[in-house]
Amino acid sequence: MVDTAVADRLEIRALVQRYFSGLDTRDVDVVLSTFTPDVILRYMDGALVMQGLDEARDYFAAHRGPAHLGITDLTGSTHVLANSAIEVTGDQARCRLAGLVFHRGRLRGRDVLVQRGLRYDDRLVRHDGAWLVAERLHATGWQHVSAEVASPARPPDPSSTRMPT
Amino acid sequence: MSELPATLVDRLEIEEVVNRYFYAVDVRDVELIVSCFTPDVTLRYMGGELVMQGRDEAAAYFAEKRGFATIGIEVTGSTHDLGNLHTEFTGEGRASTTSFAVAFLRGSYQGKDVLMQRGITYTDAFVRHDGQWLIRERLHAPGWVHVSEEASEL
Repeated sequence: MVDTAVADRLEIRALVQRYFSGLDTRDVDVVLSTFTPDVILRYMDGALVMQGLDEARDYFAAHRGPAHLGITDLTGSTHVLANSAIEVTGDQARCRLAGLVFHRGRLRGRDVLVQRGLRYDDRLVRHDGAWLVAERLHATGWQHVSAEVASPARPPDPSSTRMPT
Repeated sequence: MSELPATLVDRLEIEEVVNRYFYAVDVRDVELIVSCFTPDVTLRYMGGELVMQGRDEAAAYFAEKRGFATIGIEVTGSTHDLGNLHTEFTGEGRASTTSFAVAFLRGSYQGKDVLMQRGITYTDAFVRHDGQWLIRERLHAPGWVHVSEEASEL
């Protein structure tokens, strides 16, 4: 039996995961592919507002989110989709979700790991057959900074461990 | 149009209930929390130390943040991440699940600003109630815990 509601909700979760993947691999095109052309983004509880893909590109390419938090020398991040509540009504949907982000970088001269709880409240539309975010409120939640006490040995260069082709 | 076997749809719907519960806990939406339970739910939290019967007792437990009080932390924000979910169907309209999750609790603990990370196992009995999967019995078992102190205020 077809259950389109479940399929829609799965597609919406996959969209969020693609967005997170784009953030963590610094692939702005992937990030932008999750938005409608006229998207409205309200980040940092609405302190930063972007309208349309050009403004969104500037925001993500310049890492303005971490910069807003004072994090510099960002060496890596991991975003996790923790949980969600998704409601689908025809070609419209609302996705409320909680996520986690781990930012590794420098803050006030120290090497730190910043862990943050995130919340997104998204309005989505089915656009040319695919679900896309049309409007987002990005809410900052809790945050915790832990200072580096010991750096493990640097991992080997991935190219040196690649299987011969 | 995609075709999904009924059991797969059931599994997804059950996972959505677990996720909805976690989302509701993190946004402190008690009504949304209890929407995950049957009216006659039995909840055994903190390894069975705290027992709630029915949605009203459940709502009071979450509204009063009794779980956090038991741990001794005053929480200012939390995120629950569902790591693994194991589901077994035990009969018509019945399923048992085990959820392994990590809770990130930010707040005040023993006078310090901390992040407390905990592994939690939920053992749930689900039933199909008025057409939707809901939790009828739950055992909430806290596992490992790690507390780290805040190093720098942003």
